[in-house]
Amino acid sequence: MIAFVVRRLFQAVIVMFVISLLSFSIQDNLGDPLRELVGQSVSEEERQALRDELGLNDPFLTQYLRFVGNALEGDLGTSYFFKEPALDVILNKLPATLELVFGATLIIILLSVPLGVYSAINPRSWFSKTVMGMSIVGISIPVFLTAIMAIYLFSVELNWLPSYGRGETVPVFGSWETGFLTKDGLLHLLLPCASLASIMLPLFIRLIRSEMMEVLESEYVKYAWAKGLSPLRIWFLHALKNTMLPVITVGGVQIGTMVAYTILTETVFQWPGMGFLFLEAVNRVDTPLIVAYLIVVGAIFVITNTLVDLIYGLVNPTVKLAGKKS
Amino acid sequence: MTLSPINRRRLENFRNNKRGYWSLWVFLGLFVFSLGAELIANDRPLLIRYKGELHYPLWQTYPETHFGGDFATEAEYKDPYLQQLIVEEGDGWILWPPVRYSYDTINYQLKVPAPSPPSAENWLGTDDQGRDVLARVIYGFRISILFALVLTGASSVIGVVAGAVQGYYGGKVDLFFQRFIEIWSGLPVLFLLIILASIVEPSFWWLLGIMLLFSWMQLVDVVRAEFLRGRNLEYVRAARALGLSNRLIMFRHILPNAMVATLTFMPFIFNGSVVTLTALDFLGFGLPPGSPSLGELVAQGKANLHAPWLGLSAFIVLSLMLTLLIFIGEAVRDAFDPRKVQP
Repeated sequence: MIAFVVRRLFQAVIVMFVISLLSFSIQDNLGDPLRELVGQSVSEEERQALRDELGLNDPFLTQYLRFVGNALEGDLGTSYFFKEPALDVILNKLPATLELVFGATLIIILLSVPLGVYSAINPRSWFSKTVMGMSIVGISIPVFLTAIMAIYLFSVELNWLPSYGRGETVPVFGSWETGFLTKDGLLHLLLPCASLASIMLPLFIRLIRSEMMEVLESEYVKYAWAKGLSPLRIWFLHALKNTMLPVITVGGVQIGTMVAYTILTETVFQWPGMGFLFLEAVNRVDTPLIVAYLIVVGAIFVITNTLVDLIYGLVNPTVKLAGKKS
Repeated sequence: MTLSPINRRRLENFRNNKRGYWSLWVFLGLFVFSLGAELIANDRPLLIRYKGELHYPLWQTYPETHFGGDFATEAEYKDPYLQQLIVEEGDGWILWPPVRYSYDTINYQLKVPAPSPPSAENWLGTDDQGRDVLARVIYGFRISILFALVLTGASSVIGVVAGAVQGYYGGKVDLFFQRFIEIWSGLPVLFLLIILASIVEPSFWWLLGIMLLFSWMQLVDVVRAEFLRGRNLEYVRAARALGLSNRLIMFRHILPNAMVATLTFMPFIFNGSVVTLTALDFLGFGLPPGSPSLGELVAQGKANLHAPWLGLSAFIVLSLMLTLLIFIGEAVRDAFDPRKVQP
């Protein structure tokens, strides 16, 4: 088990190393920091002096090590556009994105568990068949298409829900402003969260269904039936517990994917979050911001993936074997 | 071509899955249809009869003076004056394709500001630059499919070779590759794609190369597993004892077994390729500006919410294409599933 944890943590460190290397080469090759710092009227000698002073003439390795050292201290450079530390700019936008992901996760959990369990228990009912059919279509339609159709329907045609922005937000603490506490904010959350959830929801319904059906066939569930336990107890206490095991793993990995998908959702709904910021940064060639973003998102990916693997390793005893073998 | 009994059973299984089977035919039909996009939607006529002679404007450029016009430049066939010249002076006729617009033809005769709603002239309306949506959808469908086809093919080849080498040699090679893939797949792909696409000049092949950097990994795992299993089977050992070269054993003897796994994954890789391309196009980091891309149409639909025909056309075409692909994929997967025994 310890070997597994160490191996997994080591791998996480390597991934972060590769991400930092990629980020650094992007920074190194994209744009000239001098152009941003000084104007046209500075002579070539002065430029050279400034380059030396900034350490831009140092060998690659020295520059890279300095970059990593700064990054570890939380200094990811200063955004050209905002003239603020890049990390601060990103962290300011983080709450909006996290709320989006949180809302979507909530929708997924609230819908996928009952629907998945129901269609596993009654696989032949018309309702399950409809759910399954819909889920195939749902899997195949990308999130931005769903989002645009939702806007047409609910914002343009029916005029029920707002189509862009976060609406009214209230500060919770620090720079964290939440839309969950106002009616307007909640209305603004509904469409983006539903769209973001739409891509994952079918996946989870199908996963829960197939896992649950497998568990329902197992010996211990049959034994529970034979004992004469109530169906509700068997389904929700005995069977669901083992069903959720693989679901947790997939769910954790998908959180990383979901952070990636917020880019598309945020673009459609002009949601002032991290993804929207990233696209603006790319269009403005705001290199420090792009690099900082890559590192933050990379860290989110790596941390969730590692945590999920570790938790799964703790919960599921069969993983230990796999860890030992390789 | 003779099929082994197991392949015959698989084909039978596939045929029995009505939904997947018909999806395949509908999809192939649409694809073939879109391959002939130039014959369906074009701003040049297919055939012109002028003064008793046949002309083929699709394949040959004629100056306007050829038809008795004033300019030495290429004839503008949509010009009513030229049409009149051909039909009346030349005593001929003009055979048009069903849609008289190519993907980049701008309709200057619009009576309402672009984007204009569907009309008898532009069946699905026009986009915000006055280009015919139907023509763009047809060409866009074709470019999406071709892109996904090439990407799927290339990533399958790379994925199969990488998986084969990994699984067949095992040991250190396997360990090294495995770690590499774990790291490479831990990267935030979509973000890197966007950054890379923003650095280079966008073009079909560049985009393909960038996506290929990440898409080849999807197949490696299954192929590797198949080769790991296959390398120690009796017949492979026998082949090795006979002195066959490693390459021959890998690709002639083990690969056919691994093809099953590969085939079942392909429709899903295909689907993913289309989605990624469309997403990049939608965000503005995809195919070069002006190309007929479905993602760009989606972006236009989003920017022009008062013009629902833009978003709707893109939505219908894309969801149809992707749903068909998923149906095909499921049918293929079920057909190859050994647990499914034919009654």
